[in-house]
Amino acid sequence: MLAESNARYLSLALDARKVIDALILFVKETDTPRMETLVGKVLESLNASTDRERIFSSAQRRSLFGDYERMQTLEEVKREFPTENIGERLQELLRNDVDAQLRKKSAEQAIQFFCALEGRALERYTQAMDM
Amino acid sequence: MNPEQDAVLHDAASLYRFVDSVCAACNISGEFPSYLESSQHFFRYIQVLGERTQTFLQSVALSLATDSAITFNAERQKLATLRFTWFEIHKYVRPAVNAHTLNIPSPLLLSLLQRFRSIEGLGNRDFVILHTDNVNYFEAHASVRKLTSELRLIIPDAPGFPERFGVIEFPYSQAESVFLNTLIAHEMGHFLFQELTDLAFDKLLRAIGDGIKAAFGTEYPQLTDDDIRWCRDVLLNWAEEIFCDFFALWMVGPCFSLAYIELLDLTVGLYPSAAPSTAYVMSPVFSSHPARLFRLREHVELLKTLGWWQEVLQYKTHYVRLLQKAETTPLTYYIFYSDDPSKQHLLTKTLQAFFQIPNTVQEIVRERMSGIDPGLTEFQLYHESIEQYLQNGVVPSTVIVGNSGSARCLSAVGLGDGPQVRHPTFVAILNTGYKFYLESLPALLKNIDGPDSTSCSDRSAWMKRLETWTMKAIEDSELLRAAQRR
Repeated sequence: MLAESNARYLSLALDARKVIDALILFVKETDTPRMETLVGKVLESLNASTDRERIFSSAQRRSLFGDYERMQTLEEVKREFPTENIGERLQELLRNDVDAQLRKKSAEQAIQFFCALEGRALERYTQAMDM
Repeated sequence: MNPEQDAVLHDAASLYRFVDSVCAACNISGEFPSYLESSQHFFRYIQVLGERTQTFLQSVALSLATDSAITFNAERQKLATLRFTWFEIHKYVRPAVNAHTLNIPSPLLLSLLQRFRSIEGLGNRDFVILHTDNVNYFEAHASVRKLTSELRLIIPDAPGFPERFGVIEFPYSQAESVFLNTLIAHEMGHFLFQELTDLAFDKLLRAIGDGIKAAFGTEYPQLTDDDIRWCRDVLLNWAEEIFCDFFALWMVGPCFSLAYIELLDLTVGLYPSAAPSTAYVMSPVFSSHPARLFRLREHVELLKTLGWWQEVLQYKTHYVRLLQKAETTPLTYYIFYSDDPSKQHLLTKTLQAFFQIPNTVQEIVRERMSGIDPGLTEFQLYHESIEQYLQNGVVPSTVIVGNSGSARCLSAVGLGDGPQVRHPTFVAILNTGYKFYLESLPALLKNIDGPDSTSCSDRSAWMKRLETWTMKAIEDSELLRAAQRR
């Protein structure tokens, strides 16, 4: 039997945290390549999540939003940011021709989105924990 | 330090202390109790992870970006994620500490491990063994590995969980049990499933996709991506369980099915008092596991493929009647219940899709287990001798074959090898032991002065004794075979 727990939500929180950490380092101007690598992976996962054919591909094993619960949580957070297109925001981050200040602002907005994702995942993980 | 930083420093110190307490529980120095090498490694790993986490916590308050509320708050939230990750790690430490070598079925585990390692590419694998309060068996490797490998990316220099370790939980009260613990083989299957190649995984997902498309037919294009993903994940969960069942049957033979029936008391399904009473064995209770009777049906299919089924049919026990019932129950009897109101329109078709998938799962298991003897021939050679030994209360680690009157006569005239000493492998011992346990216990008790074969407590006491003999036989036989190889 596979262990039944909310650990998969904690795993999503940790995945979101990886991205947040990389974005913070970018904002603090200490590490750009790490941000670019991770944001690239997130974009790939976001694209895969809307491609019906890829639902039945082993690539979903490595996707940030490969399983049903992760995708559900992402959709919930997207609804909390109705004016934000996280895909476009992340694409801006990868563009070197965009003004540095604008990229920094995009990074901060992305930080808020992924903090919401992390927070929602932590909320789910701790649901059964209240005293 | 400003007040906000000071507040975060307090929160970091609180977490630091919590990590300290978890790591302190991993301190297993001293001669007693002793632990498997895998457990020792696990404790060392947690301690190093703790040290790295604490090093990070030492500096976190001072490194906070005080000029931006967005980054400050984001960095603060990291402490919450770290705290809950350590809550998750906390769950595994005490069960590992409790599972020292006197509290685990060591001989069986070592035999299972040896067999597991004989599979191609798995020569260096090992398992951390944990207790669980549940009367059930779990594989926690995937979640432990995933959590710790993710932790590595947010804690500088944190070690990754060793790829070669699986993590298995078994009920704390069952250290002396040998028959039920054959279910551990299923949990080993989960470890193998996680290590399937992309090629094998693609094959399975294709079968799942084809099954969904065929079951929904013209409705398929109208399904949302969310619906499809839900169906896929349900079927993937069920397929993984079937994979692990097939793997376990290959590893230990039909005793796995018998242990599964015994653990969940599935023979209750032979005595339905009303239609709903069959629901217990007929329907998948969770979306994580297929129907129990359907699993048994698939066990029979694989046992036929492996040649074991004809042997199992000879067992004189109601367990075999249940297996036969599973074999002949029409697929239309199965029902998929779910409490989720948004998924009611998917249930029937998802179940239909599932019926197409076990064949592909069996193919994948057969490819992976290629070259591994399912143990039938040895069982056929030795089970009569082993049963005779057990009938006489002798531990069957060494059996003499070719010792019948006719075999000795043939040997005397140069035909045949005459009596020979053999040490059966654990697969033959386990399956014969379980067969004997199910069909010959009353006869054994009748041969002995004292116990009453109609007494539940007497029977229970001798069941325990039989398991002790079986466990001892496995232990001795492995040692004797190892000595022979030297």
